[in-house]
Amino acid sequence: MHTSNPVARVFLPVARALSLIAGYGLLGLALLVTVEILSRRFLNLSLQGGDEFGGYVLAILAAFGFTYALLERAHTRVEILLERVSGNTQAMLNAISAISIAFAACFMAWRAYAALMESIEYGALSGTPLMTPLWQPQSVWLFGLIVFAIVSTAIAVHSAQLLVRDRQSLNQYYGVKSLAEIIEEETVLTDELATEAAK
Amino acid sequence: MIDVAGVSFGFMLMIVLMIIGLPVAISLFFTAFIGAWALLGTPTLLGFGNSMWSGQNDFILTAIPLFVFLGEILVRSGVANGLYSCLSDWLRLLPGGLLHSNIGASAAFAAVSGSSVATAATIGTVALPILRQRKYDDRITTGSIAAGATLGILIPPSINMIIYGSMTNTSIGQLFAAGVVPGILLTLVFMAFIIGVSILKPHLAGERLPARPWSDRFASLVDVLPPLVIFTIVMGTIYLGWATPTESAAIGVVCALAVTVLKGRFSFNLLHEAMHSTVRISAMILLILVGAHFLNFVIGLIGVPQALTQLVANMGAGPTEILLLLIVFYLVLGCFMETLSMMIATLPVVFPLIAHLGIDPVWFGIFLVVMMEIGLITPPVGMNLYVVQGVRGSGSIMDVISGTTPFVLLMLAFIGWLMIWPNMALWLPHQLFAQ
Repeated sequence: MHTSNPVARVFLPVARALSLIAGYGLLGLALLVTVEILSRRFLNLSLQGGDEFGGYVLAILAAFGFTYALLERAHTRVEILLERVSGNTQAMLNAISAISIAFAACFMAWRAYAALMESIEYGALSGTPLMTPLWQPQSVWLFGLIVFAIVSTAIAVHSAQLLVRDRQSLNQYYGVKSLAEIIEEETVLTDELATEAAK
Repeated sequence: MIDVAGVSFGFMLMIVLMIIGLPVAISLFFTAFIGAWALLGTPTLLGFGNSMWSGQNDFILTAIPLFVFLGEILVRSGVANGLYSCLSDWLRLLPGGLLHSNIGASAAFAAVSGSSVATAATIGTVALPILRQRKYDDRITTGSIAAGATLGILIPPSINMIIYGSMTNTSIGQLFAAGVVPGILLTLVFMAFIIGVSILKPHLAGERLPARPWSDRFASLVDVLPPLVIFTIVMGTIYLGWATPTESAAIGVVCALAVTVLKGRFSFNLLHEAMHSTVRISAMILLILVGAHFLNFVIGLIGVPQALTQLVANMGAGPTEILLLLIVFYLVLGCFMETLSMMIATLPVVFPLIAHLGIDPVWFGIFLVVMMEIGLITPPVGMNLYVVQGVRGSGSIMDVISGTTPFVLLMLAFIGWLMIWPNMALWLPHQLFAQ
């Protein structure tokens, strides 16, 4: 979280909080499904709802996670050209990329809003024994997508400003990750492993 | 509705959007968006919200974050430590010594963690200093790590197979089973190659380590138990019909947490870090799937599969010709695209062809995964190459590339073997799902 990027400083705590909520949702799902299977198998007791809840957890985890992945620059990009052009061209391509993400994110949030309104209007229910009114999970999902739209728009505006004022920062904040950053992020428990293996 | 020229234009558009650096997910989204707008009109575009909801509210795909979570917890609980030392205890006497531990530990770690880049980084950091100290040749060392780390996506549980299965309506249980035999065989092919090279050119493999006493060797097996038990539970519950792949992933997460607690490693810090990683990785994959889902939908409506199958029928090409063509296609595409994105972006177009030609979808899944493995270690974008080189920190990337080349050739030969002997993949699923 040590970043000088003002947009990330504001939004990263929000994104991390959403990511934790999604993570606990996933943990809850894992426990629920495990209990369901054990009781189905050994108590002959058929509980319901794990699969339905699982679908909602996935949709909400995705919507909540998009923002976090965006701020962590985790959305996959093809680097082959970016690595081979000058800093100025790179800055322009990074800005175009940021704007395109914002456009897609706003479109998603807009259409998700329409889907929610439709569910409310027709009183849509899930086609499961629980008959969950769809507006309930869809509102949470839409909330995640709205956050994604807001943050990606902020990043797009910030990128456009930086394109005029400070291209180096633009590439640093919103460019592709360097190899050193990737390795640092991907190496797990290295010190411990190294001492263990050296024995 | 659309002719081959239109399809080619759409494909080129997608590639151009990716090359200028739009995220892969957004490139797929825009290609679908433009196609729908130009050919189908606004109602299709406006229906995007409902189609996105039904694409994401999907219990099958819930297996993705669950398996990622399982791996993140297990890796953080330190199972990798035991894996490497146990394998080095057992395999060090083979010609090639610790190189076999690289292959074995990479395969096991990648199967558990689900990430071949994380594997290359982690095993690379552990193994490189040790092998260098023992005067192993850098080329074969780095090659064995980069290639070994690709084995994980073939050995179940594999995220790539879940995505393939969900996109093509292929049984994920059967895909997992189909990966087992080729996964083991490819590992053995790599090890046989190392034994061969070490016998012919003993100077490439460094000093041999002394054998560990049998008591130590058996003691070290304890460290292999947690991943092995979890693997057995996850696969076992699927094959006994107790659980779907998603449900078995949920059980796996609970088991992985239990391992962490039993090893005295559990902390909320560990749990939260695992959650953040899981959400970041899953969201990245899921956004690509949002784009692919949309593209798949539009492609179906405008008749791209029909246009292509018509083309293939006119060419009079049979399954073998098309598969050879696909090998070249994926080799080229793998040269500049990250492999998971490559699979997701091409499946909507490629799979209808495969189905039309009567190629077994389970077999094709394995074929595709091996092609993806090759893509992970072919320059210029084979990520594993750069990660291993980055960890190595000195010398030229050419050493890594030349060390990996024999493994790429072995994998291409392996693809040929898989084509000649399809039962390599299909035998086990047929045994397990014989109804």
